[in-house]
Amino acid sequence: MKITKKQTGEFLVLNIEGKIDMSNYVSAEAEVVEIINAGNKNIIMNCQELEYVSSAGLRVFLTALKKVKALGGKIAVCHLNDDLQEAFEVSSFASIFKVFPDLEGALNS
Amino acid sequence: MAFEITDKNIDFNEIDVYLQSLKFYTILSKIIRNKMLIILEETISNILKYSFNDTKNCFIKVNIDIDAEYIKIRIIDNCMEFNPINYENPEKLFFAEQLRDGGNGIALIKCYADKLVYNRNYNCNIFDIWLNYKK
Repeated sequence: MKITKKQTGEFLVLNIEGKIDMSNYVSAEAEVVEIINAGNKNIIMNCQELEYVSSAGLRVFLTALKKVKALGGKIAVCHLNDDLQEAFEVSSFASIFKVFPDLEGALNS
Repeated sequence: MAFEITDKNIDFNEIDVYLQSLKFYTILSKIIRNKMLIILEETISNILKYSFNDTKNCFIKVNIDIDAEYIKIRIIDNCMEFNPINYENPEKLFFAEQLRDGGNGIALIKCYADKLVYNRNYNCNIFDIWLNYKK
């Protein structure tokens, strides 16, 4: 799993690559928390290169959402593949996160 | 080929290594591979979290077979009785404050599997999960 950052307008775009599962969700969560705690309260989680997320990985999204909301910021998710979309539906995340098919839509949210 | 866990502190990457060692792994689509991995990770992590006891010689055994239509995953453990099929899915939520980080694993298993069967025999949980890899 790798996270790269890019500031685009008011949003910090987090490009998440690889997989988030039981083996690495703790470090992924710590990395995302550190980014938000550094004052980045408007976040887009770009999942274009994210291949696999288990329920442990979903926690990273949940933590980011709660942190951002606590700071009064905005969070959006984009480029979910079919598996991720399904996981978001099953876990109710799809009805709580702002989910966009592409980055452009998320940036305009 | 079976995969066995006897230690609570497993490296979850070993599950992926096990899957890749299966003879039929290469004929499966990436979607099916990911579903198998999620089903195993979620089931095993639930057993380890809720019923595995290091001091009672607990084990978890995984065996995977394939036929013309289905991947058949059998997970046997001698831990505390636990039927994941009876576990209710988290209710549909609409507010971030309601979201919780538990219960989603079993919901994912139920979503991905085509058939689930649970039995308790000889003090073991026997959980059979069927995945249709042809559809």
